[in-house]
Amino acid sequence: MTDQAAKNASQQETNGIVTRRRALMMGAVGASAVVSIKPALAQTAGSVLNCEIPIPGNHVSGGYIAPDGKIVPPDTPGAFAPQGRTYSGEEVKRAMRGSSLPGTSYEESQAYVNYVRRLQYGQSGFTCYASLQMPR
Amino acid sequence: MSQQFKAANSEDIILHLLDMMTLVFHRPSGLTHIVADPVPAILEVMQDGASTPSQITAALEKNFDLEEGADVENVVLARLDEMYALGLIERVSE
Repeated sequence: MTDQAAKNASQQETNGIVTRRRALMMGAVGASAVVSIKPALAQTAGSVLNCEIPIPGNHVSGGYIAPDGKIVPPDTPGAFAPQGRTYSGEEVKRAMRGSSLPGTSYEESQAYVNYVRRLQYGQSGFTCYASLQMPR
Repeated sequence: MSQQFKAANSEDIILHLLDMMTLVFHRPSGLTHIVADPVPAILEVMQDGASTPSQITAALEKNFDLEEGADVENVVLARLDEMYALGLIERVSE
């Protein structure tokens, strides 16, 4: 490429007007580029883990929870009928580390934990779950 | 069959450019996100219509002067995952 052509590579010419494209740093694949400030969690460190996660959330009507955490039709073999209760962030955090949620067997607890891991922004319990991920 | 994404509507977002980063206030949630390049550029090309990772990559390559040797598509995929996890973009179901 000639020098002139190389210069032109970062410019576009339209109707004789040359626009220089803004340089954009892409960064590394593994380098995080977003940090969120969540005003609802501007509380004492202790109370963050008192937030609650209902299992299942109110976006689920009548479905069962499969071992991988997905919501499946009732009576799907291997799926658990949700008890329909709420757990604290602290209880869910401990369950993610291996202990079981209160009142559940190990397998049921793992299914519930996988359900929580699949929660999407806007669903009940998502903000509480997201706060468990934040370093203190 | 590429996953499509949709950015929040521009009227739901306030962008504030700082020197080394951009603040993104998302009105519906009240959350403020501190984002570094290339996130604001990704949001911009998505609001202009790019919706799949390859369309976004192509739009960035067309509209911006990118560093030599950057693994653009993989960086875009990684950033889209982050943006999705934090609610800045949503998945469009097929």
